[in-house]
Amino acid sequence: MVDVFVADKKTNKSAKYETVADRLLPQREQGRFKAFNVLPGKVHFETQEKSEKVILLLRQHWVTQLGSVLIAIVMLFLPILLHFIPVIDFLPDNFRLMAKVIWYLLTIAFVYEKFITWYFHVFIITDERVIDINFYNLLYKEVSQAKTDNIEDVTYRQGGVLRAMLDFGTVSMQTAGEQREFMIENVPRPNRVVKILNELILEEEQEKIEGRTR
Amino acid sequence: MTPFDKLLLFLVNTWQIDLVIVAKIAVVIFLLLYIVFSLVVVRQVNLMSRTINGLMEKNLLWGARALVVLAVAALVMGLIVL
Repeated sequence: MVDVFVADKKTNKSAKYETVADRLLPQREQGRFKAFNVLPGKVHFETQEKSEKVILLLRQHWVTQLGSVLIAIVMLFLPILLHFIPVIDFLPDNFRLMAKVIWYLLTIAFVYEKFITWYFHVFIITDERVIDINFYNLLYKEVSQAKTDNIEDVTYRQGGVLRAMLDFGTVSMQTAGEQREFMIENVPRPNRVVKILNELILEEEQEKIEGRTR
Repeated sequence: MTPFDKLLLFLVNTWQIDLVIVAKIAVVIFLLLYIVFSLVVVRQVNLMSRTINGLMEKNLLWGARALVVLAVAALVMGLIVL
């Protein structure tokens, strides 16, 4: 029998739609210490699917760590004050030396612990979900996530002079899942985060309508 | 004389405790605990790197190992100096 119509298989296979990741490619930005990374190529996480792309990697704005930095600076220079204020002068020389060594060990431990806690507390937005990886201290780990298609409403708050000047704030999402509210705290450029999240939600809805699967 | 001074005097006079020895033991215990802490840091950085990688976990792991070396060196120093 003669075929009246034959679908062009090639065209179907090569049909490529522009994703949010494709659109963001020219605006790609990443850095080791950056709090706002767009399409950080090398970053992978524990539960990542093969086809899942990391769109945003966010950390808390550096200014949120200012308190710890100031404490570290004070701790660093405190032993110098001991030259002027004789607090441990009653101790023998060897104990005085060890007291300073112990003080600097504590300082190093404080700085290192604060740094890795900040560095590994990340918010990852992929083309499928939002993940919050948090290490409260050295012994406590919390990973929470929300699927993009469960996100119902995205808003951001940016209160105070510092937040307005340095452009950081809190992004909150209402989800249909078990965890009703999902928050990304003190991240830089929250307006851009919300914009990208909205684009991802739309993309997910479009995929559902068109029956596309990854 | 403060209550703390009185306590020290009481310990020294009544129990014949040598405060220098007590202080040395306290320093060594602290340094041993610091070694344990640094080992926990290494383990935790390993765990963090498994959770998320592609950042600078290698450098951080070297930093954590350096902390262990520092802790051991401080203990050795403490044993020699005190």
